[in-house]
Amino acid sequence: MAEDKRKIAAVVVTFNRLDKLKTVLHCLETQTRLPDQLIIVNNAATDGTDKYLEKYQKDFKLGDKIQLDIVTLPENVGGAGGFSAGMRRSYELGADFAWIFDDDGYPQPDALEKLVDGYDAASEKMGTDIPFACSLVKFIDGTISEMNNPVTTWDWGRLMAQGLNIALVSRCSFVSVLIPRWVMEDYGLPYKEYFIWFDDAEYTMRITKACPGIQVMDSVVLHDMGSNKGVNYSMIDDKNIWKFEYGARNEGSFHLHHEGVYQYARFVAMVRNNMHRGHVAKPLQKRVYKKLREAWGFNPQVDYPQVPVKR
Amino acid sequence: MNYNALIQPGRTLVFKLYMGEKWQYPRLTDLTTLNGLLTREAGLKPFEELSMTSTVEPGSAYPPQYFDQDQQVIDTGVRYLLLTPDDATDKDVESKHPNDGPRAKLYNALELSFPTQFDVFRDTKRSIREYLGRKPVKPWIPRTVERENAWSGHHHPVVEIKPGKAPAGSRKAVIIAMHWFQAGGAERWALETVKLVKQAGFYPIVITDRDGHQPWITRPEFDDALLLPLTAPLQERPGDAPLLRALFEHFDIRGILIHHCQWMYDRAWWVKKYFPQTKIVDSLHIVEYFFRGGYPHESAIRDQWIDLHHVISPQLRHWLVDIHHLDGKKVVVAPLVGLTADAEKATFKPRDVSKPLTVAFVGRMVRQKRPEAFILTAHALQQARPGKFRFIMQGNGDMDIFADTLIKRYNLGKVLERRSMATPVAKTYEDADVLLVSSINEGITLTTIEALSAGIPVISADVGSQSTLVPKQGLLRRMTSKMVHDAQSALTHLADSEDNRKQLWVAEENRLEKFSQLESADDLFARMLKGWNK
Repeated sequence: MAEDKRKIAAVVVTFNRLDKLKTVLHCLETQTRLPDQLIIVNNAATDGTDKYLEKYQKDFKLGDKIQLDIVTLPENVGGAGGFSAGMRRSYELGADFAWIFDDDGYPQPDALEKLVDGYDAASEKMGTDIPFACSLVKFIDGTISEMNNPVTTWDWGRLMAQGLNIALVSRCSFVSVLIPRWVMEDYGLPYKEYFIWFDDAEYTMRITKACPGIQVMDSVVLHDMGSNKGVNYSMIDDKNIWKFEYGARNEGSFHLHHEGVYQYARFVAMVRNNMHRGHVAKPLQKRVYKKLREAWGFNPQVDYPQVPVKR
Repeated sequence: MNYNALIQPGRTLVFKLYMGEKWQYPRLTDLTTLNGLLTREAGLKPFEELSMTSTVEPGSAYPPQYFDQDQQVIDTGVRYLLLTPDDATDKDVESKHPNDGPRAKLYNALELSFPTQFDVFRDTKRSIREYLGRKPVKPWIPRTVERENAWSGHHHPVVEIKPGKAPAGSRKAVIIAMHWFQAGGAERWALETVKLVKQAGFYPIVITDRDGHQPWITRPEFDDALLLPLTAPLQERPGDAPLLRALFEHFDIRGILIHHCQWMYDRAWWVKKYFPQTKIVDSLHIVEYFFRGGYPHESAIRDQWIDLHHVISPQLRHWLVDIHHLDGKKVVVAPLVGLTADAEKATFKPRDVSKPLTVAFVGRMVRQKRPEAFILTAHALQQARPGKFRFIMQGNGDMDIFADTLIKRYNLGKVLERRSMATPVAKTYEDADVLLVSSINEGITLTTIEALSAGIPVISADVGSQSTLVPKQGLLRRMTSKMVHDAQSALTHLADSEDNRKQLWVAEENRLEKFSQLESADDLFARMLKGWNK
């Protein structure tokens, strides 16, 4: 069998979750198919992550197999900014694929191997290069992760009918996603301006306009989040309102500027109904509505990795 | 298939061949061959399926991702090629998409009802266009990577893909970029250059960029040539010219000959950027009224990437050098003498003066050739001197019905014979005593050279560079009414005096001989190609 010369860059974005990051790095080091590059994006963490990464880099034992690259951002730019920076770095380092995840996603030992095999098998069956491949995301207790279920296409079972344990999907979250270099070049990077929320949905929808992505069921990642719950606008409270504010602005902006006023109105109605059903406090509802209005003036432009960042 | 093999090195592709309708044009290389829009999606069934693997060795990257503007066109490894029946013609295509809007209907009605008067309006338009064609031109600005990326309206950055170099010892080749594989003056000369390229020891790579049924594709001149009939839009984007890149990585391309090929004009800058040693030569035949001169205009605004402009007439040289200030050293007049006739052995063909004077029209039945002017001349002469003249119109085209209607209206059936192109043109010259060129625009017509070589004089509308060969007494003013008036007068003289007819031929023959003393296009190109093979 010919040697696989494609370079895969594992991109981990971390912010103040040092303990979990250590587990993630251990999972990466013990992959059956090691990534060729490991890019760790330190999102201006304040919990000693920087010190740990300095030592990690110095003591890194897999230097002959993995090119380690640590990107320390001057300020926290959210998950969206972190993924954008990490993917850009993978492009600059000449990676053929960026394999992206958060600092609380633990890829199982053969996750990358299965993901690459699935990508190749699906590309061959589909007759074209797939724009992304994502893993099956489970909660740490082995049940399905409620908030990381990809959206399937109408013909999601097409590859299953051909004997592959792979579903066709049109959007997924950034918990173990393999993104080819050509996609970054042709479709750009996720919107860093989104900061958090909906960056993954928008990006995967953007890159699947012509061809769907895939979910490789044999590639498993455990998502170590607090509790295994889905999210919707009926769950807003004082603690999480800040995230929903980003969500409202980002998703509102996407619908308005990419799909038109009608879809934006539908989204606003859905948010309103959810908040109403969840008895969300009025002041919090007001804050969400304010962000929905803000969407009108919020329409970021796509960044491309081949264009250097303006300093 | 050659196109796909070149731009998809090493890949195995499945080719599905479909037979379309007569009213369609073949689709061979455009984006519909990737998505099957006109074939599979249209419910057609392939009549042939082939799987082929490209043996081309790439010298740079050929990503299989294609975009039509910002829309990705998925490449599933299948190419859906639409072919059309062998007997399909342009007429079949036109009949499916008739130009029968209110404006066209009004135009046609006016042209048919008042051909002479309507031409006053058209000639005014021609004069305005001629004036515009003489106005200074701005150099064309290519879509370079830098320019694309600097343009704020284009958000997607363009990535430059630099071509590799052909390995040492690669086959020497010359690209001949043509309009299409179909009859025409420029195409006849292009065909000749294919022969010359072969004779000079090069591999001819023939590219066409114009939709058509390509009836000439089977001509023997193209045997042993690489033929690339392109249908747009290709799998190209700014910053990359995959087909040219592949050709330059595979062959040692010494030069490019352009014969009315817009695609090649638009990529001349790319060739010069990466392969400055490759010579680019274009051949120009006629200054058009529209598009500010047509191909000569396209050539003039891309002058900086063209090494030599070969023109077939002094009028074209005047237009390029005196009007548009191109470097005179780069513009060479080399006539197409000898391409279709041998002028050296010409002798005057006397006529039997007891019989009517036979006037011939040879050319396609299209607007440019102005068949109505010829018919109106025939009508005027028949009215003035019934039975003293005979007329032959040889050629077909989209104005066949129009011409037949006028012939019937003026009751010219007995004195005017229509001939198709199936009749050898030599037979028409043999039967004729004088050739009348009624075109609204020309360079130097090959028919003029053919007629003189056959021993008959020519009278011609004073258009293009016809005055190079036709003296004042044989020239007719351009506007239809004036042309008919002048033609009637000239032909009456020629009918009355065989001496006059002979004098006109002698004067024209002398001009042709003088013109032929210029290095012929054949000799110029043979010499030039020899130089490229060093």
